[in-house]
Amino acid sequence: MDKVACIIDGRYIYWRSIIVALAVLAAVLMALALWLRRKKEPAALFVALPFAIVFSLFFARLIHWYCRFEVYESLWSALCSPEGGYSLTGAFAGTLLAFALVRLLRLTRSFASLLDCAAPAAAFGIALGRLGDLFSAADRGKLLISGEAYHHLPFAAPVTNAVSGAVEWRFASFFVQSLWAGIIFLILITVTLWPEKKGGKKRDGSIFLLFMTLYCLGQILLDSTRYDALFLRSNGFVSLVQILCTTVLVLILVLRSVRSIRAGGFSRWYPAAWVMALGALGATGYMEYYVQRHGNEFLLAYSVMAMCLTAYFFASLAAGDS
Amino acid sequence: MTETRKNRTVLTVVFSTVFFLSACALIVLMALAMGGEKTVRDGTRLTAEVASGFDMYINNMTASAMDGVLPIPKVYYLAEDVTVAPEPDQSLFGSSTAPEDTLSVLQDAAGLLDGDATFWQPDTVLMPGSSVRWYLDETILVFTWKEVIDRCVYTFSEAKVSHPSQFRRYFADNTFAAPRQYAPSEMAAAVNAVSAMSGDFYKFRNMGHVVYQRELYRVEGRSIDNCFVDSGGNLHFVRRRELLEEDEVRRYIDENDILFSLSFGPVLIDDGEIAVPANYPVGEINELYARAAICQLGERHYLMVTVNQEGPYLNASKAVDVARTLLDRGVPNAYTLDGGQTGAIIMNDQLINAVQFGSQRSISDIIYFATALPEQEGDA
Repeated sequence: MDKVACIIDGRYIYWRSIIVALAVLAAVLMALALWLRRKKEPAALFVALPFAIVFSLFFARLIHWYCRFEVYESLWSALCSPEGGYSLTGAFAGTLLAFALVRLLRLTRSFASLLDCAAPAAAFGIALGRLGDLFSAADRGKLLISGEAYHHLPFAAPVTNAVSGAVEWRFASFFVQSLWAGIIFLILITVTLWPEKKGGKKRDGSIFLLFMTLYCLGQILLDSTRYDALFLRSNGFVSLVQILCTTVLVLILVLRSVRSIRAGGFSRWYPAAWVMALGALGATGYMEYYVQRHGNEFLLAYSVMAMCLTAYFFASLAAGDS
Repeated sequence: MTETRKNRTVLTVVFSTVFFLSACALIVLMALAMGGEKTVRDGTRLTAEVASGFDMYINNMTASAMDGVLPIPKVYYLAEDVTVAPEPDQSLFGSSTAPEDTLSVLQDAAGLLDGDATFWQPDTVLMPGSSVRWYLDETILVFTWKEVIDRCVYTFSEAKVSHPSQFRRYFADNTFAAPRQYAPSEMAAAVNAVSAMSGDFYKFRNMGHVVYQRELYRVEGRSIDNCFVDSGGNLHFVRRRELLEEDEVRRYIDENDILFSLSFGPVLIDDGEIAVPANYPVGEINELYARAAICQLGERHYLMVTVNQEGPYLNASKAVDVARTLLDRGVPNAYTLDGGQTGAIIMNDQLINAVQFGSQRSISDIIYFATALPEQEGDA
């Protein structure tokens, strides 16, 4: 299914692999540029990079093996063979582990600063990397787009049916993910480069928290549209990405609340913000259930879901200081 | 102090360069080594199937050449590894709100039926406002209709085929555990099914044996009843805990010439006896629920059934209710497939039954009936 860019010594080189590799390179350079801008502990990120890549590949394949174990002969063959899939979630886990390792080696004093530099770079990399799916059949929408007026990006992307050979126009989930990641990148880079007020200082980790919040909000909705989402072995309804993103959003809410209570004491508005944020996540979950049951009402379901996720965003901002 | 700082700076630059170059090398390796999509597919029988198709071609060309000289019956079948069946002739589909209109279809199908009685009867009372649909060519007869029974809507799709190869199974993208899932009607359209039905949704749960195109992909015989389909198109029921070890399953496949399996269950009717157990791990058999089942009526003669709520008919069924209804109507063998929102019957790429919640779910597999008549006679 993947389109081949060239053949070198009998080995197929896929367009998707090239684009993903370029996206990783772009993300690496972006992260380095932001890190070196700090003029402190320059070696930390350099040391973290190769570990981050190796760990990311390992976890990305491990998660893919867990969710799609039936396509691999064994865990060992999954980890050793280049053939197969990867889960982007693993890249997050791998990068976090590499940064933790660098922190343990005392190459940096601020784990959170590393994350802050990596966050815009990650958004940039995802925005580019998702475009690789233009050259594969991955990450399309369950929805077939019948109206020819919509047979173009960003609405629909063509995919050739593996069996009949017919071209299907499906919702371009990957392209919308790319656009969303691009928007997140613009927001994060603006916040990162925005001059700090006199006497004020951006709190370490705040850029990363903003990135995770925006990225998870987008993924909860967009992963729902995919026809090839990854699922836990014990649950075929809610995708792995949706479960993880929801968990991260709850953790972010807790973290922000704790940080703001520690910094400025308890405010009577907080409980209302918590209820609103958790209620919005609950309503999002219900809409996921609804759209799975009533797939033909996807516009209504995804509109409500988007409103709920927006409500979560503002509620979580109200519950935090960073 | 200055010397130390200078040394540290040099070390930092050297180490940073080394690690950065390592990262770049890894990225290049990624571009070169990341493979395409992994699939589990077997193409080893291709040569044999091409030869088999050639036999059919020779037979039918000879029959055409000898027409009027020597009666050689034409034989049509589908090779095992052919996934996309010939496209059915649209002019041979029909529908009517008057059941008696099917009398002529039944007369035309007499040769294909070869004395078999059909489950469909021209005096059937259709669900108000619905119609009976049919398709008939030299190789397949299909009737699809809806009836109201116990205030539930039963959608039946009966198929009689001239060759067992026309009863087929299809996994999304023709691949076991493919990453993508599709609506049953999309899959039916992809393979040119005359009629089709959602399967067991094997990817949703890790229960039951999975055999597809003679290959054994999953061994799990502890939890649920399995239904195996042999090369003669016959259903074989294997109860849970009867076949546990991989060796046993492989032997069973070889001895019974099994082509594919269905793993949901339970067995509803086995050889004219209701076989529904008291408890079962999937399908909420004792709850009121939308149901789906595949039945074998005779040799190369099948019935696909779904039970749904539709319009004013809002009852739902327990598994045993469906078994009783089918047995009362003379069905000798029936096996439960995934019901609920999964259960869908498709004819000519159109969804026929009122799927629960009003829209089809994306699933991993279907079963289907196809014409074996080549799209152009010259292809035979």
